[in-house]
Amino acid sequence: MDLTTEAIRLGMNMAQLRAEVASANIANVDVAGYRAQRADFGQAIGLLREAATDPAMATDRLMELTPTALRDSVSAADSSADASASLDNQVAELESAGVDFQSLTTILSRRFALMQLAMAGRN
Amino acid sequence: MSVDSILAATRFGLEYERLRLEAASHNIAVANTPTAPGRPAQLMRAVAPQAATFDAAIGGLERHGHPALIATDVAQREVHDPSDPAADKNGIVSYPRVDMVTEMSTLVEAGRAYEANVRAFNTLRSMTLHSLDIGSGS
Repeated sequence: MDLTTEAIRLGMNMAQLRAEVASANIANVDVAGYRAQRADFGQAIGLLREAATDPAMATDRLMELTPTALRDSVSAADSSADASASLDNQVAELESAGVDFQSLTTILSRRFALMQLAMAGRN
Repeated sequence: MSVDSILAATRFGLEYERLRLEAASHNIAVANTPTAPGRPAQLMRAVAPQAATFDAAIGGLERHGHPALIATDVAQREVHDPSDPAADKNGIVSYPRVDMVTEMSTLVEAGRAYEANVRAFNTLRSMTLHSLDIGSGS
């Protein structure tokens, strides 16, 4: 697939993972001693930033970052300052991940509609 | 500036107001608890980091600091009650001096501000989702 579609796919995977992490934190919010999980998107954001500046970038590099590879970046917070998960914060995180996901799916379906138009010649 | 960062600013507001609410509840709860003799009376206060302006929250993609609860020393209210086990050798029991009017108004104010932040979050969210309908023809 082309670079934009791959970038959108990666963004959707990131939004999905954020929602999953927030759900896990909400489920365990009342467990004593629970350390909130955090996803680290450093690598993914770096790749997306590179894709935004360099249109000739190989799509394979974006495809290497599979959902499984992204999930490996999830870890429990180690500093005691933000180890506790607060319910409102996690619900807000879940909501903004949902908004992200919905935006990206809409954009992707618009792109596919354009491709379909190009193939069929009419809408 | 992205939509996400406006949502982040609103979430910062939510966290700060929740901490103010916690601090006020804590202060009301300890108002009649004697402090240990020789120790300063302490009350909780919510503080926001220095650079936590709305512009900083909107403009900076980097994570800015979080609001936090800190304990501050306050004046004491001293009551003569030798029968209390927490009394010192002169029979004086000290309590933190809690201004109930301030604490109660903080409680109500923080609750209202929290609601306002939730409303702002929901409005922003539905605006974002509505913007996806631009040009979809229906």
